[in-house]
Amino acid sequence: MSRTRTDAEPVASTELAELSEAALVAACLAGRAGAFDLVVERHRRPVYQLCYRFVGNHEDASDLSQDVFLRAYRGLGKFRGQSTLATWLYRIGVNVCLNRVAVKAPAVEPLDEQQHIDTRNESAAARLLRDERATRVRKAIVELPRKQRATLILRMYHEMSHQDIANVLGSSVGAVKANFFHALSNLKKQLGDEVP
Amino acid sequence: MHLSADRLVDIAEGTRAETAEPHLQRCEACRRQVAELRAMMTAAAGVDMPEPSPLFWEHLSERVRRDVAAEAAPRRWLDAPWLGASTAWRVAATVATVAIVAVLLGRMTREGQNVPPASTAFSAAGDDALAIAGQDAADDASLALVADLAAQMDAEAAVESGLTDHLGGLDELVVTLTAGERGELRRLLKDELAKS
Repeated sequence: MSRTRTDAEPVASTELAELSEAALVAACLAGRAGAFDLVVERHRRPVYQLCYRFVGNHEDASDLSQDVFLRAYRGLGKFRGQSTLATWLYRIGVNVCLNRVAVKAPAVEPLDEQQHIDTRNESAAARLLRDERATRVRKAIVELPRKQRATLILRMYHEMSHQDIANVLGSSVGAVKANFFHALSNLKKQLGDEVP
Repeated sequence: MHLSADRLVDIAEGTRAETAEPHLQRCEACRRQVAELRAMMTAAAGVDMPEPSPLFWEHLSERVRRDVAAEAAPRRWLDAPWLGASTAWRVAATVATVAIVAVLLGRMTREGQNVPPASTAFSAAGDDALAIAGQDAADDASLALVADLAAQMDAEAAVESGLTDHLGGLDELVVTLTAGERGELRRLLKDELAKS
């Protein structure tokens, strides 16, 4: 008779870590302990970053990330492996973010509430300037129309191809490029000459 | 005629050579567009992602873990290793439950008992499954098991498994059991459970 493994068992963890993506998904679907934890551990950073870029503040990004993984857990049986798990999670993430920002105006964090950035080799003045500029750019991105924002975030920060973005957004490559063009043009309008 | 948005994006990203567009050489407006796109891409790329506290990642995992546990809790016993994957066991449960009822009906018929009409049977929906076990289920593990199995029965799975040829077929197979019949069902179940 088999027994249920637990997270505490290093052998199980090692075995899971060695599984291919498809096998890890299968392990999740079979209810194997620790399998979905590993999915979260591997993808939590990019998912959180995607959400943060969308909403511009840590609290909402944290809630959205949690929601993305819960939805992923619920929908894991529908994952067919036609894209990578990362792309599939991005698709869920974009949908969650698009739905959230449709009903809630994003609140970009002011400088003093932002999280730690390693600035040990930077002068105080340079750091302040960089922080201010970054905040302005982030705010400008958050204020872009939703599809333009999604396109710009996926292209600039997640290095996705136009085709992959089209798959995530359910649109064409031409539409993605047009959205990217308009996103950058709108950034220019918002930032003016602040950014060279 | 100026260059289209997708061509301007391709040139700005460097996937299309400037020399491939003779128009660019003679159109200052398009050259300025390309320069602005590049400047905005550089500005956006230079925005750091605020790094959350190192403790945040485990905190996020824990929140997801709690969500997933809450999601899975009502079905936890169904995920026991001896039941296997969910789809498979639903079919198996359907087969087992219907088979038990069929056997019981067969015995009753052979023994000349008066079988009541198939009116208020338990169904795939699950609520009616409790009619079989009735209050006995509360203090009888075997009947509780049948109630749980029937509650998870999938009419479509029964059709797929060949038990019946239409979704209403399950309802036609089952009957409301009398106290004597429940006793017989209990005995059969105990016999089967004792073997496993």
